[in-house]
Parts: sequence; structure tokens; C-alpha cells
Amino acid sequence: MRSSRLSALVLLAGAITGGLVLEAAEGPTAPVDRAIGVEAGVAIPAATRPGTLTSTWYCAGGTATEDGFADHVLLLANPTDQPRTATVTVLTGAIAPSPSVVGEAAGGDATTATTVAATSTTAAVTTTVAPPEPTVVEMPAQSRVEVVLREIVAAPLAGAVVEIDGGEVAVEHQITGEGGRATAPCSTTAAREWSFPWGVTTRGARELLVFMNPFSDDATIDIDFATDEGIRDTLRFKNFVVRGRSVVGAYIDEDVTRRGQVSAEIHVRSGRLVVDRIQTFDGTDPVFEGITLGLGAPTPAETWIFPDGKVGEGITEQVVVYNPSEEVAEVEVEVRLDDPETNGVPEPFELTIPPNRFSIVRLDQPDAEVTADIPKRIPDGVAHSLIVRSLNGVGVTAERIVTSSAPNTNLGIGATLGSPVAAPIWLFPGGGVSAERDEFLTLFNDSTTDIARFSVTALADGQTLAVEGLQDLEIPPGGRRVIRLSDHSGRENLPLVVEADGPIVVERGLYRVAGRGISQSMGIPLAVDVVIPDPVDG
Amino acid sequence: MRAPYKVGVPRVAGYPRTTVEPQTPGTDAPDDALLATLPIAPAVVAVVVARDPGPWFEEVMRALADQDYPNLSILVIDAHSTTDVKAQVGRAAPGAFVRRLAEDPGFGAAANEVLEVVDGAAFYLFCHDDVAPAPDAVRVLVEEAYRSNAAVVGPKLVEWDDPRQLLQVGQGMDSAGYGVPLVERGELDQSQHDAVRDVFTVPGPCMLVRSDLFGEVGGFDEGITDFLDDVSLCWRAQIAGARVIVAPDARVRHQDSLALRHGYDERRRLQARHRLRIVLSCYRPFGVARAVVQTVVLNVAEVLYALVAGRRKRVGDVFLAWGWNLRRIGDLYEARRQVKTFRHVPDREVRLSLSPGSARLNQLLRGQIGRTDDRFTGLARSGRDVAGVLRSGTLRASATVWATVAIVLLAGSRHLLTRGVPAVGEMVDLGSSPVDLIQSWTSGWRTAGLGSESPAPTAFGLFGLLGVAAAGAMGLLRTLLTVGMLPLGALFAYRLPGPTGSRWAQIACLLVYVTVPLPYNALANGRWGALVLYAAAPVIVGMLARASRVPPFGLPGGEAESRSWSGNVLALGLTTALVATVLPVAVIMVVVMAIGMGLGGVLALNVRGSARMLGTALGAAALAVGLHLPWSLDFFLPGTALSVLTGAPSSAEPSDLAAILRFEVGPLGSAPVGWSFLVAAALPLLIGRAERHTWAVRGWTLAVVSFAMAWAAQRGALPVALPPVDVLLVPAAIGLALAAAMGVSAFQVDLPGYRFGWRQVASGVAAAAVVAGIVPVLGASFNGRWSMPAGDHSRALAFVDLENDELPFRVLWVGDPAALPLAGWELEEGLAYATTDAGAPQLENLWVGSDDGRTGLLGDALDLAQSGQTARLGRLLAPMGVRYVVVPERLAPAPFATAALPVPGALPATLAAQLDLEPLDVPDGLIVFRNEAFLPVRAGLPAPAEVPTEGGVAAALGLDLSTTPAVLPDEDGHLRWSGPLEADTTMLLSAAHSKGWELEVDGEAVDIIKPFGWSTGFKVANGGAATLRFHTSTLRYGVLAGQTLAWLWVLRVLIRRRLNPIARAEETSA
Repeated sequence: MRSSRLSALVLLAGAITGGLVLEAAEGPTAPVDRAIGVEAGVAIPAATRPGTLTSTWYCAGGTATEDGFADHVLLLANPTDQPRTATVTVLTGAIAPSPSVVGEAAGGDATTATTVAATSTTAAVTTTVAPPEPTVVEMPAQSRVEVVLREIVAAPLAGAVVEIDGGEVAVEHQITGEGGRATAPCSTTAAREWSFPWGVTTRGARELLVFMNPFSDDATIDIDFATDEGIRDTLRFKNFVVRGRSVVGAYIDEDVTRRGQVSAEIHVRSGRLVVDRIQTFDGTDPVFEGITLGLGAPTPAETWIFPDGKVGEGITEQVVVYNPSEEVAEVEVEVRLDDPETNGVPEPFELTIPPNRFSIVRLDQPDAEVTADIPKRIPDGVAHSLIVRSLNGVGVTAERIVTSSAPNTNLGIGATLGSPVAAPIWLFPGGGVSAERDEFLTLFNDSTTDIARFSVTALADGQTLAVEGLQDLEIPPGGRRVIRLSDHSGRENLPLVVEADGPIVVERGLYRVAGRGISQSMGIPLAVDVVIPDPVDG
Repeated sequence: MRAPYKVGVPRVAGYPRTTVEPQTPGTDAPDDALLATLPIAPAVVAVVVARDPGPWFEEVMRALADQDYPNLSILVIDAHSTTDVKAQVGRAAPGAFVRRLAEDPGFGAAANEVLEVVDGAAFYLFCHDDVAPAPDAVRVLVEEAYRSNAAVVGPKLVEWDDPRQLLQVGQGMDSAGYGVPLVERGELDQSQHDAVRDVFTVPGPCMLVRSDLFGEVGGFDEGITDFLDDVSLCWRAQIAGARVIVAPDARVRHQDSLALRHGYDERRRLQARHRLRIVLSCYRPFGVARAVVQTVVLNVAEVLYALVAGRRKRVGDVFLAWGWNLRRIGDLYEARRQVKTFRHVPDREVRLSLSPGSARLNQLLRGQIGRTDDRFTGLARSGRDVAGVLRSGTLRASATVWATVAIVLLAGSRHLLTRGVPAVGEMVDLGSSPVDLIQSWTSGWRTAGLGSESPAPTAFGLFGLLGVAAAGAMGLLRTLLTVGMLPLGALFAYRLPGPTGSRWAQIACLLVYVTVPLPYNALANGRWGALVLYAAAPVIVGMLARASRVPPFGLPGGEAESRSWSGNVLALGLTTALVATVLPVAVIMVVVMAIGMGLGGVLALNVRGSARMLGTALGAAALAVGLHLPWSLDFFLPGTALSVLTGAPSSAEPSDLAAILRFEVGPLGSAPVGWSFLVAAALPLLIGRAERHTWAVRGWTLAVVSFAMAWAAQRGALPVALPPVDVLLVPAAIGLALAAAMGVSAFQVDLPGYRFGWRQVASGVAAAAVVAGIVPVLGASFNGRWSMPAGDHSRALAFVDLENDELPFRVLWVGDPAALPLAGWELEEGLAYATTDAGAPQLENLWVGSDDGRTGLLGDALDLAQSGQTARLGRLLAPMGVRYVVVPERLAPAPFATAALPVPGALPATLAAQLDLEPLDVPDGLIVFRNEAFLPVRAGLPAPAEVPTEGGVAAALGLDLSTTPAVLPDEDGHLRWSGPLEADTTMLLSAAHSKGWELEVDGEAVDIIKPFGWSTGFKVANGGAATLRFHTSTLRYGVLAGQTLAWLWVLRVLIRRRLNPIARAEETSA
């Protein structure tokens, strides 16, 4: 009995104690992973992988009138060898009246919004809008199709939902007006949060946010603004209503006036939206002239990559990093100069960004402590790439703004979010070269160890065209390569596919030759073998 | 006051005074037995019924022969004794007549022979063959009959061997036929009861009855074979207006051999059935109704008491008594008709003679029902015995503990009992009609998911039958089947350690089991399966223990050993099958429990019985699977995921091992009190000896295995799906309770063998731990609903039910399995989906079964949306009839529940990003989308619209079917609808394709098609009145009949074995 008692006691107690010790040895439960859930197709518009049933693209901002300031055109590229059918549903709307006349119009009018309180017994009936009649657009294989929205509807603002019966396709949209032309990818997600790190509301500048609600129910939003004078609350953008299946624009400068830097963070309280920003400059400030189009960032990320960058005479470059979180972000902005052996490796810019605030790195200006004896950290005329990293895991959004003014002949402003992902394949539905227009591709190799080899193919009305001189080229590890497409092709209609054997980031610049117009934007990655760059090791 | 029966007073309907005439000897009377002289006193015939009398019989006869009464004749009715008694009679009472019967009809019927063979007697003295009247007894009785004008007179019955001890001096009676003895059996006779008094009944072994009354009432009730025939006679005598008295001066010694000649169980059983016969036959109609109600209430109380006290045979007595009488309903009617012929006194006057209150209830309340409970021992004697028991404290403690447990359980469940159990988790609504459930069971079509021809769960049939038995009170039935599991588990836990013989051990087991947080957390989490297993686990462990035949559960020669292996398998198999009705995985859990207890044998270095336990468990599991055929086949179909059996795993925050050890899988069980169960159960490991140590180790091993499985399940450490953690912890709860019981037993038996030291201190600590464990449950009882949500999804989703009344559609439920109010198919880890056809989930939705490849299309559609392949999930779901997508993120919406069970991943974002799903404004904790592309479940598509017949789930993506009207609106029965259909219409039925669906238009069958490659449809060329129905095959009905027979056979065998010891013994010997 004694032996059985002892053995039983030891084994039973051992089993329980062993379990407790084992669990304790594993330590406390792993801290909540603060890694940001970056996903191609959400954090950045992305073409869906082959075999996908459908693709849906949301193109929010633009006008659909003959004399619109942002004539809205969709650019649909089908790089596959199968024809596709796109169903384009155009949503219309108008620009919300300024705060002084609130109450006189619908669309984004908070005071006339219908809100139905939740009850425990019945579902609230929202102001359901019947879906507009869609337009079917055939997309031949390996070609680009342009859809001009004013040819479908006439409306002060018009956005579009493009549903395509397959994957691997990409959609951009383009606006053209007095300020020039801007091209940017459409969104592949409707999100509840959008942040725009940059914005200007100074004299001569207008910042228009275009909210597209593709769903049947109304969406209600709040917008927080961060300016160089602190947080700015506006009455109009509290409970701002975007009706179902509509587009609403709102000029931020009517509420946040005369600010050289405005970050906007949009919180969708109910529903989901797609938000574009159209920023125009009339040249009142000679440095700022032109028009930009771009999506906000629906999710923060720890790494943002900008393949291209340059400062010099008449060229300014700044990076605005916005922290949409509730924690302080420790951020590093690394500038990788071309030919580092010659140009050196500049110290990264280190930023500490409080919650809901922004920080600006002006690459064209010397550091405050720089003396005449010490050269600028970023030398003029040396092209470079930029990598914005969050060092403490707090997600941020980052946008790069480049201006070109006299004495340059090409005038304008380009603003683009960085890419939070790297991928082997990138699509560019828009673009083309002509005597008046030039196009540049800048490719960045995300790998710090491997050379990336790439080729560029054009979609030429039903066939793919290997662009001469752009086949099987190399990008050094961690380096970049710039391609001037006019050196290789003269096609005005030049949708491109860039394929590499490793993760790269590609951006495109469209420049008016000797005139007003700069448009910079990231390409559209194909959601295959996508890599999320590591903010520390990457 | 009723008028007594007046001897000699002519009455219209009464009895004229009988002229005493010479006796007519019986045909069997000896020739020399003629009396020489004429009587000088009223003739008395002593009727002695001899039934294999013992050696005392001659003394009995001599006592009668020696009576000083001058006109006494003796008639011996030999009720077919094995040995003819004539010789004995001749030796002891040469003048006695002997009449031998061809068979033994019972005492009453035998005694009634006197009516046939005797004429002219004034009185009959009915005697058993084991009484010896004092020489003057007959004279005293006759004198008192005249003096008191009584028709029935009884003597003072004293102990045969010690006449100083009283046995009976008549007795009172309550209205339900339970006797109220007037003296304490064995009481010393000091003439304290010698006054002549009216009684309700006189001692049956010897009673003087006026012959005319006896004839008028038809003698003894021949429906009563033995026991209580005297009560019947006296009751009927009083109905006839006769007076019944006891004359204690007439002293009769009594051997009480009749009682000894019948077994205890048989004696008790006979009393129960005869008592009920008396009640049913002697009252007038209103009185019968009143007595029946009273008796039923008493019976229920007695059954409950018997269950608590572990006296299962008494439960059988109650039911057998009713069965015996109901089978003789014609005979009862005849008896009542006869009573009616001589009734002179209404019931209300008879009742005046009855004792107030309920003798039985008094016995119940005083715990006096036990082995000593029968008419021969009675209340008075048991009162003395029980007083001793009460003084010993165990019964009183047991009663106190039970009262406390009952109060706490009632208080803790008060809101659930009065306001209903919310339909959260597995606690689904049983529906409004048991008939619907039975139809669902018999039907060849299951509605779960997109429908299938897979077999229906047995539960549909079983709960349907229970619903019928409950007269359709499905709400009450649901409350009993959920909240009722708490007291049921407590009851079985109390009984589990019964074989130890220690009531304190039973109390400890009860206390530990009811204070373990598990069942309350199961309620709070909506885990019905865990609750049912909790209720049954003590029974399962008890059966396994008995199967092991290891003492104390298998005492040599005891009851346990008398049950064969097959008997154990049958009993455990039936129990397992019943649990598996709600919790299919119980079939596996039983084997796991056997393995756990078997491992305990290895640990305790006493493996005896382990193989028997495992064999029994395996046999029982196999039997349970067999009893659930054809449903159980569904779990073995190729491709069926194990999660269909175990339930899809939840992604809720896992508990750490410490919380699991404290059973803290819900709101109850926090430290430090949560550790008390382990402390309490540890005692026998330290001080237990012999079988107490062995069984404590078995209990602990069972617990450790259970803890380990729960821990592994929480960590996802095993490659197979495991049941919910609260189900896995049930064996741990009963294992610890068993160990605690063994601890108390060891405290009583083993501890005195040790010298004073740490063991005594440990015992104190263990006792304190048991007491401490009570505190949290006491606190939780204040909540009144054991922290269950106060409401459920039904209110928030009432609009869905309302719409569903008008329009046929499905609701797709997606969420964490722990939050879903129904069972679902696993979509990914921590995410499951399911459908309902009628809005709120009901019992039909509690078991999913195999998805047979078509219901999986729902999951495919969700996968497509989640992977970003479509923003038109509504269109994909349209052909499936899905109008609403409901994502519960809590057990119940706000404000009823606050604990979040959010869906993992980006599901809400995916759904919100769908262009054809409209989010609705509903309370927090619920996300609901309305499908704008919805297609009614029964829809009529106009001819121009083409429906693809292949393509699967994606085929619907390009179709906009949202304007398709619903058809066949009239529900004509189960799975049968009708209505007009227009010509050139494609009738679409959003159900998995099956040839069983039949559509007839104007009586003509329409060819079936297969829309989308999986659905069901019909091309209707000519319009008209249409009927759609599902045709269930005859084979299915045959299989279900076989299943029913299998259940009935097992039940019959078990009941026979339980109630028929002889059959059991024969079986054992065989």
C-alpha cells in the first residue's frame, strides 16, 4: 500500500505540477502582435491573382461634365490572354456646399442626414438607394480600355465601381483639368479608415476629398485634421453623411483654412467608403502648381518605400509621415542615394511622431544644424530612393511630395503614398509617351542581398510587346533603376507589365514636356508572391 | 356522526339479526365431528386459513380448541398446503372441520370459503395459521361485539414468544390507505392500551366479524391476495355502516410467519398494489379523484425520496402498483359496483374515521421509509429506529444538505424557471410542437444547411415523444432538460458512493459535485451537452465501477455482482445513448472515462477490474452507436469531419491550466477558492487504504486525464478536433467528487487506525476545503440565472421571424462556434457557419451532420468572399435562399451579454465590403446583413430567364435573381407546399438536389432539373395548381421502426432485470 500510495501521489502530483511548470516555462502569453496587417489589395490597390472569380475596383474622384475641373476617365488594363467583361456602375454626386450654406443641400449634409436609432427589436431602415444601371464594357485580351464617365452620365462628381469577371486586371483613373493631368490607381477596397498624410489649404490651393459610397446604406464619417498648429476639429465633418451609392466631395480648405500642411484622418462610423483626394494649386505660390490625384491610406504600415526621389534647383521634395495611432511612433526615413560609393550614405532622418500628428522631412532643405562647412545631407541632383520605417511597430502612413518649378520647364506637383509591399509583378494601365508627354519607371529592389532581374512588357491591342531594351535587366540589391520609356517606345497607349524574379517596388512618373503636369504614383502589384518589407531588417 | 350498525335493529337496507342454527359441516368434515349439543351462545366459527403452516400450527389449533367460548366451531381451510394439515388438525383440535382447496387463492379468497360451507354462524373468527388466542379471547371478542354493538372486533396482538411485547392493537388509517399504528411495535404491554376503542382496522391475523356483515360486503376482496385484505374488509365494513373496534382484553399471540414467508420486496410490492386497489375501489367517484391526486402527489414524493435514498425498488413499486391496478380496471369496476350495493355511509363520514394528514408524508419527512417500512413494522416502530438514526446525525445531515442544495439550486435558477431559459449557445428552442419534431425524425429530408437526405438525429424522435408526454409543454420540457440537469447530476452524485455504506461519503460527493463551477459555467456558456453529460457522469462512473466488481462497488454476493457483463453493457449503453442524443461525442467520452479509471488502477497498483471496465465501456459505446442508427452512420460517412461529432472548435481566449484545474471556464471558479476541490479530493490519497485508496486514485486519474484533454484542446495541441472544454472537464468533476467521497470514507474507516498527527490536520483542511467550495456557488445563486444572459437573439431578430412567416428564406449564421446559437460546419479555425430555415434556430439545428458536399457550397461562397474574389457574396448566396447573414459576436446581443466572442479574421470586413449585402442596424453583439440579391427558397423564374445547370457556386455570380417571385406559399404539412404555378416557369427550390422532391401540377408530375449543378428545380410547361413535396422512402420508415424496436428491447430487458430478481438470478447463473 505504501508503494502504491507513493507512486500514485508522485505521478498524479507530477502530472499536474508538470503541466503548470511547462506552461509557466513558456512565459506569459505572447504580447499582442502589433504588426500591422498589411495586405495587398487593402493597404495598396492590387490586381487579384490568376483564377480569381471577380475583381472589383472603386474609382472615386473626378467630374463627369464637359467643363469639369477633373474630367474622370477610367483606364482598364487586361494583361491576360483572355477577354474580360467589366461592369461599370457609375455613382454620381456633387460637392458638398461650404459650411456657410449647410442646410440648403443634400449630399453630405449632416443636418439633413437621416439617422435611425438602433432598436432592439427591428433593424433600422436606411435610406436605401436603388442601384444605378451598370454599363458593360468588354475588355479584350492584352489591351487597355478607357471609359470616359461623362459619356455615361453627367454629374458634378462621378465615381465608378468596376466589376470584372476575373483576376489579373488593373484599373487606374485619370483626371484632367486646368491644373494638368493626374493618374492614379483605383482602390480595391472600401475601408473604414483613411488617412491622408499631406494636404495644403493655403491661398491658391484647394484640397478636395471625394467620398464614394458604393453600398446601399448611408455612411457616416468623422474627420480629424492635424495641422502645423495642432489638431483641428470641424463641425461639418462630424457625422458627415455620405448617402448610399453616391459620391460626395468636400473642400477641406473651407473648414481648415490657410494651412501649409494638413493631415486628414477619416473615420467611417458606419459603412465603408473609398476616398480620393484631388489637390489643386493655381500657382499663387510659384512652387506649387498643378493637380494631384490619389487615394488615402486605408491602413497604416511599418514600411513605406518610395523608389524615386530627387532634389535640386527648382525641385523640392518632402516626405510627410502621419501617425494615425494612439501611440508615439519612432520613425526613420532612410535616403538611399544612387551610387553610394560616390555620393555617400546619408544619415537617416529620425522622427518621433506623437499620436495623430505628422512630421515632415524636407529633403531639399538643409538640416537646421548644417553649417556652411558641412554639405547638405541630401545633395542636390543626386537621385535616390526613400524608405520610411517605423522602428517601434507603430503603423504610420507616408506620402512623398515633389514639386517642379522654374527654372525647370516641366512644372507641377506630384504626390504619392509609398508602397507598403514589394512584389515581382507590377501593372501600369495608364501611361504612354508622346512628344508632349514622357514617362519614367523607377524600380526598387527590396532585397538587400539578391540582384533582381526584370523585364518590361507592353500591352499592345491584343498582344504583348516586349519593350525593347527593357528585357532581363538587373537591379542591384537594395538599389534602384530608372527607365525613361521614351527611350524605348513611342506608343501613346502604353499599358505596361513589369515582371521581376524577386520582390521589387515600381513607381511611375508622367511628365508633361515643357508644360504643366506631373503625375507620380505607385504601380499596381499583382497579388502573387507579395512581400511585406521588414521595417528593421529590410 | 354516522350511525353505527345496530345489531338486531331491523333496517330497510340493513341486516336483520341472524338466527343461529346448527352448523352444516363442510363436505370434507370428518364424520365424527358432529356436535352433540345445541349451542347455548351465538355460534362462532373460527376460520383458520392454513398455508403450509410451520411447526407451531398444532399450538394454534390447540389454542382454538381450548377456547372457553361454548359455541365455537373450527373450520380449517387448507389452501393447498404442500403437506395436508388434516393430521395436525386432528391431533390438536379433533372437532375441527378441514376443507382443502385445490390451489392457494390467497388468504382472503380462501377465507371466503366460509360463505360456501357455513350457514347459521353469528360470527366468524378469521385467523391466520400463526395465531394463538388466549383461552378467553373469543368470548371477550363476542361479548365486546354485543356490548359495543360492533360488527368487527379485533384482539390485542402480542409477540408469540414474548407476550409482553405488543404487536398491534388495531390501527388508524389515512385517506391514502397508509396505516397509522396505535402502538409501537415491540412496546412493552403494561395494559396501557387495554381500553376498548374504535379503530379503522383491526389486526388482520385474528379478527371477529359478524357473519351477516361479512356476507353482505361479499367477504374479503378476492382481488387482494395477501396483505391489506383486513384493511379492505374493515374499510368496506365502515362503508356499510358497521362499527370496528378493538378489544384489547382479548389477547392473541402472533408468530408473524406470513410476513416472513413472503420476501421483503414482494411484501412491499403487494402492499403497494393492494393499498391502491383499496383506495380506488372504496371511495365514491369524487373521493376517488381526490384520493388519486393525493396518491399521485405522495407517489411522486416517494419516488423522489427513493431516488435520493438509493431505493430504486421503491420507484418500481409505485409504477408497478399503478400498472397492476390499471391492468385490472374491469375487476376494479366490479369491486366498486359491489361496494355501491352496500354503501350506507358517504365518504365524508368515513373520512371522519380516517386519520388527518398523511401518514406516508410524515414517514417521508421523518425519513422513516426504509427496510423497516412495511405494515408489519409501521410508523411507531420505525419512529424509534429512526430516532436513533437521526441522533446519529447522518440522515439529519443528509436531509439538511439536500435541503440546502435544493434551496440554492432553486434560488440560483429562479429566473430561469420563472422566465425561461434563453436560447443561447446549444440551449436551442425545442419548437412549439412535438409533432413537428417527430415528423422531422421520420422524414427522409434534413433541413440543416442546404438540406440533405442524411438521417435525422434520434433526438428529434425522442424529444418529440417527450413533448407528447408533456402534453405539448415544450417550454417546460426544455427547462427540465436544461436546468433540471443540475439536480439530476446532484442526485446521481449523491448515489454514486452509496456502496461505501457511508452517508457522509455520499454527502461529500454531492457537495463537491454541486459546488464545482462546471455546470454553472456550462449554463452561462449555453453548453447543453456539457450539462447533460454532467447529469449523467455519476451514473456512468457508477456503472463502470460496478462493472469492475472491485469493492465496494462489487461486493461479493452483492447486487453488483448479480448483474452480468451484458447487463452492465445494456445499462451503460442505454445511458450513453441517452446522453449521446444531445451530445454525440458522449460515446467517445464513456470510453475515455473507462480508460481514465483504468489507468487509475495501474497507478494504484491494482488493475483488477480495469479490463472489465474498458470492455463494458466499449460494449456500451458500440450499443449506443447501434441505438442511434441510422443517425450514427452520418458520422462515419466518408469525408465527414470529426468536428461534426465533436463540435467546431472555438477561438475564444483559451484558459490556462490553472483555470482549467479550477474549472474556471466561465464566470465561476476564480482563485483561491477555486482550488478547494483539488484540496478536498487529495485527502484519500494521503490517508486512504485498501479500496478507498484505489478508488480515490481512479477518480484522480480520471480527473487528470480530463484536465489534460481540456488543456490540450485549449492549446490546440492535438491534431484532432476535441469537444468543448466544459464537456472535457465533466469527467474531472465526477472524478474529484468520487475521490472526495473516498476521502470521507477513509476518514471514517482508516483514520482511526492512525495515531494523531498530520493526517488529522489534513482531514480538517479537506473538510474546510469542501465548505469553502460552497461559497462561490452560494454567491452565484444570487444572480438567479447562473450568469446566463437575460435574453437571447430572438428579440433582436424578431423582424427576421416576421418576414419568414411571409416569405420562404434561409438565414446564414456565421461566427465563432461558441457564439452561434446552433451547431455549424467549420469554415476555418474558430469560425463556423450554419443555416436556419425558420429564422431563429430550433432543435433541428442543433446537430449538423455531414454536409454531403452541397452544404459546403455555403462555405465555398464565404471563402470566395474572404479571399477577395468577389464583392457580390449576396449573388452567390441567392440560389441558396439566403436572405440574411447573421454574425453573432456574443452569446446574446447587448444588453444581455457583454463577453465578446468575436469572429476571427476579416470576416466582418469582408461582409461589409460586399456590394449586395446591406448592413442592418441591430444591437451590439450582432452583425446582420440583408442580401439584396436574395432569391426565395421556392421561387418561380419566368421562362426567358435561363438558369445554368452546372457551374456550382460561381454560376450564380452573373445572375441577378433578386426580382424572382416566391411561389407555392401554402404549407400543407411537413415538407409539402402548394399553390398556383404559371406556365413556362422554372420552379427553383433552394435545396440540395434530390430525387425525393416531387412537383405535381394539376396532378401531373413535372421533370426535375438540377440548377447550378447542385440545386433542385422543375421546368413547368403547363401552369396550374401545384404541389411540391418530399417523398420519404419506405426503407427509411423500416429502419426507424427497427431503431424504435431496438430501444424498446433494451428498455424491456433492463426493466425486467431490474424488477424481476428471479430472472436476473437465472441470467446470472446462466
